[in-house]
Amino acid sequence: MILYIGRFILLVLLQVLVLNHVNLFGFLNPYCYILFVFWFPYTENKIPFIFSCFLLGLSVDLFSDSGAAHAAATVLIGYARPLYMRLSFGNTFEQVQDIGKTSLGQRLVYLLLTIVTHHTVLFLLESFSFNDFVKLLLKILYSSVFTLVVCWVVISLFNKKK
Amino acid sequence: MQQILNFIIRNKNFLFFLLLFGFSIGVTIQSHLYSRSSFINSANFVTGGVYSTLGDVSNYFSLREYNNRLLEENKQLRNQVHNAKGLVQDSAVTDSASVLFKYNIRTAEVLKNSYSAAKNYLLLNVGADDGITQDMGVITSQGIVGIVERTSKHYATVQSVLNENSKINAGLLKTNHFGSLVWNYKPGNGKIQLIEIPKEANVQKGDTIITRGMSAIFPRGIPIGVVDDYKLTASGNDYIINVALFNDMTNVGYVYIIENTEKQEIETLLEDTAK
Repeated sequence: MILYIGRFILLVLLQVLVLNHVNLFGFLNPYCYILFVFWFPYTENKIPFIFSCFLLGLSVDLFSDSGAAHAAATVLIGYARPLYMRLSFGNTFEQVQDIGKTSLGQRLVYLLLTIVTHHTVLFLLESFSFNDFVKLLLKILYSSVFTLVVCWVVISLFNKKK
Repeated sequence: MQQILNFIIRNKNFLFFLLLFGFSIGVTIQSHLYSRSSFINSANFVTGGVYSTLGDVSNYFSLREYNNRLLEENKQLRNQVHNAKGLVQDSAVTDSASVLFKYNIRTAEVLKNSYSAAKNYLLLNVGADDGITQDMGVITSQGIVGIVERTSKHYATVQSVLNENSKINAGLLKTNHFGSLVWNYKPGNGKIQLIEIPKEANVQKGDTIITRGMSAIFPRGIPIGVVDDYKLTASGNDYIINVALFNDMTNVGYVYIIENTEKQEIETLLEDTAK
């Protein structure tokens, strides 16, 4: 429990104090706080998890003055997580206790699905218009790649196996 | 009844998700529809505290630059004071001095600044307890920054000029033509635009843009920037001017907050007239 609260606070602080100020090429930021969702173990009762996803997004929103766009995006990936786990780890995903023990490809697919969903919802809500749809898609694409790379670095840093 | 309960229990995850998701979408839409920022904003005890702790640390690295800016500003002010000495008895100066006292100036430190999103806000370390209220103008020694949007007891958020909702009355220094200063956000393009300037204005590249003082928020003559390039709109009646700001919006350390003490009076008068 304390582990998850600590991780929650650290990821929010990392996001709002460091990653929100990266501004690569003037507009690209990685959103690595979603690693909280990635690392959270699978549980039968999903209500506490969905609620903590909501709180996570809302905390980032509080710091970024972005309405509740982060909350919406994060609560969606929290709810859709069993689906993504099934798609990436197969039907026996409920037995996956330690995500570090799955294969590299499976983990990448799982992370990618999560990131792309999150960023699509986030940037749709942030721009709130379909003018410049191509630019919006490009922003989703670039940011997803950027987030994936940074997340992968963070995951490698905290991988217990090595 | 039994069936409804069963339905709720069976779909409790989905319903719970729908509730939170709907709430978030609602708040986001509300923040887009109204030019006021959402009630979820960074002017609160927790976020303000975190940002001000960080600001204490990071400010040390910019002290030299802030010093230089202050020196530069002091130089300009001294220039004005000494050059004005001989004219003090002049009635024109007395008049403009009395105009100046309409405005109360306060200083504040910027705790958080964003410039790469579509709606950018700054967070200041002063709030309602320091007499800050909504719609006060925020400037630096170099130029305009934005308008106070929300206040809590000890913090205030500022709608940056780099914000899609921002619309500030501005015009050319050399003529009396005026228009609106707006920001059309495109990723990677931080240009700010002056629109609705009539075609008679004869705009030139390098012309200075200042506030016109018509909105009772900013006094007249606060510098904004210079004309970078310009073109006529499709109808050919007015200019769209790209403005290069004097202020480096990515690097705002300390700001001045301007309070117009007669704002209430002006607004009441305008409302009564419109009735």
